[in-house]
Amino acid sequence: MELTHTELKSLVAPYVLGALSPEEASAVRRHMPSCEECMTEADGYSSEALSLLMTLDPMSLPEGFEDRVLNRVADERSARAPATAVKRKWSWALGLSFLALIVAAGALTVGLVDARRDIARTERALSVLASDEGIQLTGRGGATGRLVPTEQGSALVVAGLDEVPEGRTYQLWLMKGDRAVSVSTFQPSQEVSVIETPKSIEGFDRAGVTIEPAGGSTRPTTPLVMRSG
Amino acid sequence: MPDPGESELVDRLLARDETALREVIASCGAVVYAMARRVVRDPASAEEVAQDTFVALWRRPGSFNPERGSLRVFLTGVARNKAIDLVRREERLRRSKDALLAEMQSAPLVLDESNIESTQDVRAALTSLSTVQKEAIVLAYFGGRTYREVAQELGIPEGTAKTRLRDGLIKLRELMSPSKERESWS
Repeated sequence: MELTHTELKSLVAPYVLGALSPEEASAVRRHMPSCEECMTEADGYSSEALSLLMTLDPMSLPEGFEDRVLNRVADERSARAPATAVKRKWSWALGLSFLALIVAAGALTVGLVDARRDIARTERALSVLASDEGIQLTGRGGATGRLVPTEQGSALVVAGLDEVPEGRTYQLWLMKGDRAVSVSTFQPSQEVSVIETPKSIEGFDRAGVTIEPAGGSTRPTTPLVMRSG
Repeated sequence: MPDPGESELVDRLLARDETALREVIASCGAVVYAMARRVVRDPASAEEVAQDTFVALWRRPGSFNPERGSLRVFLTGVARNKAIDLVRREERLRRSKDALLAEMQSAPLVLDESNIESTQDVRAALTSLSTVQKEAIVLAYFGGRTYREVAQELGIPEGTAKTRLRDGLIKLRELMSPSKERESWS
């Protein structure tokens, strides 16, 4: 059942505090970009949420914490060396393309600090998903994605993918005939994630996503969890 | 104004400089972990949340934009969201209403944010919230409860829970930045 504006407005404060069910949060996100009143209300709460964030006394970290984080990072680093250049390129491109801006919003959950901006970026990613550009992908459980050309190569906008188990990664492939070429490994981090890559989609007619060991594979070793047409 | 030191840290993270990550952990680790502990009952799971927060930063340093606030606030927000996701997936890790509310009485403050006028302002703002508003906000914000669950745990109608959350946020805003409040609500 569609919620009315009044009902949606009453959900804005719980939304800012993260106190909605996923369905209600989606409804608020869909409504806000077209409703200045609700958007203004969300904007008005940002600094209060910020102050709540800070009502904390620091706690001593468990012994060895830093080393454990660095060990995890070192493991990833050795496993994912080829992807590093791609990630760096995304980040240097910040501000240069709207897709790069979405990467910034989508890569980590920013929290409550700027609801309007985050929603706007998610909306832009959703508009890419809803377009008919590039190659559309669909997958289990309603996962959906679109691989579109960008100035730097291509970008995958993807929604509805589950997290992969520890030690595994999603891997995006471009395909033509029997040939599959690796594009990038990735971990979706939000409802809608954007993975920008330097790889052009030109010359390929299909795309797919598999789950591979961390670091990726040279060719798909598991069935496709997302595929195009 | 973005902190130039934090912009430089991000550049170093982008260049895959592990010593930059060590510096971030040294400066923000204690509040990130505190946030995780505030939300998650089990210390080992809270550590996992804190680790995940820093690993996520390492994976995508460009996600932090110094123009939008400090790294500390950003990472604390990330940790809070990860912790809330965890306690929503695994209810056994949730902290009890009583534990959350008991802590609320003495919630200490650590503030060094330039966009907040002073620690005293925030302390005053928090203490002047009514108990019922504070309870609702603490259960939602640190307890990972939806407003429906807040209503259930406090034995109040759902509409009342939404109103308490909203009134609490409005009260804080009025107390913290009266000039901004007048601007955005006129």
